[in-house]
Amino acid sequence: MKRFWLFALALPLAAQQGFDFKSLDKLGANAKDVTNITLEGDNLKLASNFLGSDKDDQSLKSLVANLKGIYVRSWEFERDGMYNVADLEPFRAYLKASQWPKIVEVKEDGELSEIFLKSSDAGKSGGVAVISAERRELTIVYIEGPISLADVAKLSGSLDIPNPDVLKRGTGGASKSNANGKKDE
Amino acid sequence: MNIEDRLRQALEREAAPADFKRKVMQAVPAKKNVSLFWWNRRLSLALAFAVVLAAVVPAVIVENRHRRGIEARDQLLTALRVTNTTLRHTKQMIHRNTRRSS
Repeated sequence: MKRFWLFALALPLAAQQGFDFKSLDKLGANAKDVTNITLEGDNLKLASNFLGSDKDDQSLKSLVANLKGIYVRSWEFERDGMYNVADLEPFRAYLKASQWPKIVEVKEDGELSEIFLKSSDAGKSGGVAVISAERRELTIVYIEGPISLADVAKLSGSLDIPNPDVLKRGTGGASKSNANGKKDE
Repeated sequence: MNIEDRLRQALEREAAPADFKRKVMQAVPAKKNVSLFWWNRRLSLALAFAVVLAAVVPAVIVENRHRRGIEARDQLLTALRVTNTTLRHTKQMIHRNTRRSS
């Protein structure tokens, strides 16, 4: 009981400090493929500066211009039931404590999708978070910073996002990694 | 010969050997040239090193920044693609559910 109260008291404080994505690492313990992306602050600005100058790239640039951080965790598994959905609870609890209301919840054949939108002023949202739990794939997207609903719609539409695997030929590499956390070259 | 004469004889000024001046003049400039040579060589090496450093360090910094930029851009594009795929998948699930319930 004492532990529960300590946890309950610590949650609002943790909400102010930002979510510790390392706490989700155990979800990928049995994963075949892991995608682990954290982009925040100067790194996010640097990434934005390296986008091209055509119309699509400019559109992406304006989309990420004011964002504070983008965090993506995605795990692919070889078989069904290789992760425990309950391990997502710290993330859900953080979203609840930080006042990110759930705006979408869809369940279908053992799959679950949830979208959370942080409320903010001036017709813009303060961020968007997505949990997609499929049988063999689990994805968490957490985008923090002012983002309009039009941008969210753009992100969920037929946005032409260049494939970094195609771009990296002769340049850098994307952060797609295998289960050991090593980059796929 | 008393002690006074012996002292005077001992302290009497002697003329230098004929080639003394030439030997001294030969020795002095030679020594000076050697030290100058070494000093100049060290200075030249230090200058060359500084020039190489001044040329290489900014190039390495620029290259490193470019590499980090490309890596960050690729990460951003991957993140946006995953977001796009996930949101589209959710949208499809919503459409299927809506169709089923109507």
